[in-house]
Amino acid sequence: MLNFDPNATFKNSIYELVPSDSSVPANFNPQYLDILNNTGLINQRMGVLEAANLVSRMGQAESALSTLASRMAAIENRATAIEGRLDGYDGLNIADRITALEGGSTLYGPTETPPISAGPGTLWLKTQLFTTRQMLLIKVGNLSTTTALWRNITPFLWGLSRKDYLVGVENTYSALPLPTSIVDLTVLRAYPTGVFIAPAASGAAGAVIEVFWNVPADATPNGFAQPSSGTLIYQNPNTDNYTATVLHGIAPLNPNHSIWVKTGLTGGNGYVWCSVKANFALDLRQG
Amino acid sequence: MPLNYNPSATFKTSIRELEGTDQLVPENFNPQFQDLLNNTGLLNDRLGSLEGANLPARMTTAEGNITTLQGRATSAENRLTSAEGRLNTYDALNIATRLANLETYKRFYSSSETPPYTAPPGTIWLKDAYLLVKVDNISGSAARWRSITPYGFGLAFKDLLGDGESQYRDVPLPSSIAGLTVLRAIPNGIEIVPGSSGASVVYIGVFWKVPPTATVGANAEPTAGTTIYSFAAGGDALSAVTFHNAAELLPGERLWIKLGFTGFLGQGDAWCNVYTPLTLELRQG
Repeated sequence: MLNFDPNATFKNSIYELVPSDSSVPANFNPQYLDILNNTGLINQRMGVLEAANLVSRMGQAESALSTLASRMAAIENRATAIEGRLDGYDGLNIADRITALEGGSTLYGPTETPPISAGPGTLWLKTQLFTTRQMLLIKVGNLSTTTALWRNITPFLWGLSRKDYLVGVENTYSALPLPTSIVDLTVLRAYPTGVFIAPAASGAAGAVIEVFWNVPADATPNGFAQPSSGTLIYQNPNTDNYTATVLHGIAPLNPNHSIWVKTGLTGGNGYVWCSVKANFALDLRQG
Repeated sequence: MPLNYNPSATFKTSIRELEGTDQLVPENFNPQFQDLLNNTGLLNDRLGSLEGANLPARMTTAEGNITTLQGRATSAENRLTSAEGRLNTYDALNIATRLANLETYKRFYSSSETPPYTAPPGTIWLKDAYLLVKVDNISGSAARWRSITPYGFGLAFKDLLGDGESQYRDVPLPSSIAGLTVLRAIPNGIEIVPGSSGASVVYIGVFWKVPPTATVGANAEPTAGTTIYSFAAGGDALSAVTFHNAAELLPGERLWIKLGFTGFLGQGDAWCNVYTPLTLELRQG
């Protein structure tokens, strides 16, 4: 019996029979044993490889890799989605916008001057130079690139009272022009939010009381102490009783235009007076 | 001379079969030995190549790497889940809309604009001559505003009265101001200026919140309402301080001035002026 020898080494050459070899087993068996050992050694080594279970392990590895590939694809998709969402937030420019919302004072104090670019709604506690007069203002908008429109929050009360003792046929008047500048800002116009007129007379049966509005600076009085232009907003009735409610819907007063109170008498003698006042919403120009 | 493996040979799956007529000479045996030697040599080479590739060790390393990758993938998934959760939190903050709202909902609206009902409290609206500040929403389609600019309200009444004569005048609070519905009006100090001349026994009364249904009672006084000033024949000196804490006025409710004279000296003039700057509560919508 020829047996595989595990200690043999692989042979790449074997004995070649020659013509002088006699035909006996001893001349054939060495070659058979060499080839048997060669195949045995190969078989042994194949066993080692097979014992490594490479095929099964490769299948499992391939399956695990396939799963990993799917998971990685999902991870990549989720990462892409996250990047997209982050891109969305990046596109919002959040930091700059919050800074812009936080930035810029909404209230300027007496020692400050708001820039013309200050937004509508900006507040300004404006002081008149060399005085303690202050007025809280709110910005309405811009009139141009170098001028801004402000409105007063602090009430601006404006008006005049006139009383006169009149004799016979006598007509007199007092006028009060709206300033052209208030707290060092240019007055554009003044909206009365109710014009309160208080007419009265005593002992003057024929009193004539008239209130004129928006009387231009160049207006002149006529013989009845009426201005040559302007709007009549009140005239007392020719009775002994006068009533006046607060007038609304009166046109804005222009700067340097006056409130004009005329007190007149058509006979006899007596006192005649009239007070006019209004809170004004001012349009003021900065710049 | 031995038989040598020929690496250039190809693997043979068949070899010559000895036949009965074959003579027992080397030429009839050596070719088969050579073929078998070549086959084993080729297998040896190929197996050597496989062995040289170090496959089992590499497979073990690869399996270790796969395990590591699985751990890393799990970690990455957990981090993604965490990041998605955090992003969900930011999403829920509705940042874009809220930023846009902050930027869009202007703090200030001019007369030519109409603030949306969604404008937040504190929004300023320059409505006609009046600066208004938004207080809140009354409903989904109505907003409440408060005037910053005072609304002048008042009445002046003078009359020449004879003995026993009483007269009155009144003025109601409008139901609409600056195109908005008046909800109520709060007086900020009521200035009352009473006066008389030649009327030594004068009666002056100022009444507040006189309802629309009130009628004229005895001596020209309203049948309902609150007396906020009264002078009744108490001498010839009249004084009045600015009256505070008067109740709010509702639309249609009136300010009422009564002048009366009960003297025995003929006649005389009496007058009274009442003025107050009102804070208005107005409804938009």
